[in-house]
Amino acid sequence: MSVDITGLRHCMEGAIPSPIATCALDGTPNIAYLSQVQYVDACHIALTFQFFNKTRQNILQHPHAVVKVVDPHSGSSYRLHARYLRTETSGPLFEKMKAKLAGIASHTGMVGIFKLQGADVYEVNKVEAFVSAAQLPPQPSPAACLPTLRDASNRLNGSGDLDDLFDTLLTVLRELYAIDHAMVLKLDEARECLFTVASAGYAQAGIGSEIPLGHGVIGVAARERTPIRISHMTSEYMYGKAVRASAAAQGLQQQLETAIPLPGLEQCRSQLAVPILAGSELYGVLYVESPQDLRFGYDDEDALQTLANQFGWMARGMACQAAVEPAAAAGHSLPAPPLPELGDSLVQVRYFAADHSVFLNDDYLIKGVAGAIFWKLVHCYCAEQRRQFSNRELRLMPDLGLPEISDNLEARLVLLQRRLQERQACVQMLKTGRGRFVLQVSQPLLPVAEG
Amino acid sequence: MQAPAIISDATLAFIEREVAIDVASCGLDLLPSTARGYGCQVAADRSRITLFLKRSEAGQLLHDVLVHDRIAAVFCLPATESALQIKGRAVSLSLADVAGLAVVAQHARQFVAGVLPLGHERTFAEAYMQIAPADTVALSFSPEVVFEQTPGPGAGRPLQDQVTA
Repeated sequence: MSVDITGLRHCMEGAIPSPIATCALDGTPNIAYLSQVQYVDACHIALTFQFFNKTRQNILQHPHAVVKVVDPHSGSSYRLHARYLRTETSGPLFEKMKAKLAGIASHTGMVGIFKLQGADVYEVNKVEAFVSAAQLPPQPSPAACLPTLRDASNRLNGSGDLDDLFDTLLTVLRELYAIDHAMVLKLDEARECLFTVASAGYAQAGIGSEIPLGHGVIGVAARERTPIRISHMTSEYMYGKAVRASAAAQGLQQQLETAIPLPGLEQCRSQLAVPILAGSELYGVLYVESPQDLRFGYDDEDALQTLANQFGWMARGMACQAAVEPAAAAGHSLPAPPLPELGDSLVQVRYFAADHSVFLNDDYLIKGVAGAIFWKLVHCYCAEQRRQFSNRELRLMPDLGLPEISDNLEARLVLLQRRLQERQACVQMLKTGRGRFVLQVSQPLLPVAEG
Repeated sequence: MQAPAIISDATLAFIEREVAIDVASCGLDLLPSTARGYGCQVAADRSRITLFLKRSEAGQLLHDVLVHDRIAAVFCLPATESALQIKGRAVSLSLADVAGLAVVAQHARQFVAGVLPLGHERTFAEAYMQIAPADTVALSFSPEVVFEQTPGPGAGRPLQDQVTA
């Protein structure tokens, strides 16, 4: 017989330690505290296997256990009668619990001691509820989050183009979910990394910064295509310095964008990274963080994963539409704004073909695909005095060597536009219609190919 | 014959402070049963430990300890998550007397005061420790082994203050 434990998920956030009772074959009971109880689905939980202790000996011989979870608001407690099924040592569930354990280890001074060996999966076959008699103010019902989700979904749905979609997602998170620190990263399939396209709530936006797949909370969420949520500060999963260090150790730093620092909170105490998926294809990662412990719960994870799924399909759809849409039918196009009077100082646009990196005089701008696109735009502007471009013509330019996956171009253009904006560069890209933009140049440019 | 006292000064001090208490037993079918503890009292000669349980929550466990006479109790200090487990036998049950109810009331006050600095709401803490006198059962047992139970590689290690005779 199975039960539904979905309504008890909030009791599994670790606010109150959960004991597990087991029994040895000789009839001796054992009771010990668990580091983590993970909700898996309506009738399964997973528990951390870290040490070969008495609990583990017992469940391997006799797979019955009783786990208590407590409602951290009401004080009501629930006894879950569960049967051990299997141990997972890799994959999404394992990675999810490993990341969460790293947060717990850091919070409890157990860094280097707590190491997840496996995620023990149990089927829950009976729940005993002991409801607190205390008079407490009513809590919002779980369904109360649906109107907010609907509102958020509607607002995403109203996005006119990819640029707008990125902005709307960050606005929705801030206005409807009070999430002030967020970033959206796009997967670069060929280079197996993620690059930051949009962010909110940081002194430095970090547009263009990169994270290798599998590194830090963002990289693991991408690799495993599963949400990773950590409720306490942990250096192990910091995506900034630690990610760079681990990437360097594996010789990946040469391939990464290292000149642009990753945005991020200094004192981050809660992290949630959800994969942005379109069907089985990974588009990127939505990442949010907070300086508070236990800021994000299972409900936040559900909401953000649902929005990320919608975002994934919309971003993919916009890229496909842009790829097939004839330029003439690309919708109404605004006239290009007049070019301002150029300043006096000549700006050298220096381009290094080896990695497509671009500098404006001595200031680093960008590299890779976005660098190659920028170089091409500047070249057209200087050689042909062209200012207006369409995404479609860029896609068809053979000398750009663009990746075959079309959504990379669209995302790279958004990235480039935002990077120029963030740098307050003398070249800006202004939208004039769907899939069209104009260069706004404020200083005379001199393209210099450096090799 | 008097059972040897196995509870050290440190263990005694620990289990009588503002700890969370959870108790386990099992039936002849080896299915575990559990209950919350609402207070702990150690006999003067330390040969018996009395735990106070809520009858309405502990039906299966009370049945199991009578049939099977095995008990394990874990004591955890919320502020540090340090924990001890004590296993024993020779279980007896009785109604909580006036002195026992005073222990329960004192334990609830200590526990609530202990968890408030950890960020828990008073409403939660008081609700969690709520127990009616008429629903309070005293479960006494003779301790046989004390284990370190703080999460970590040392969890499950027997402490020196165990029966050696």
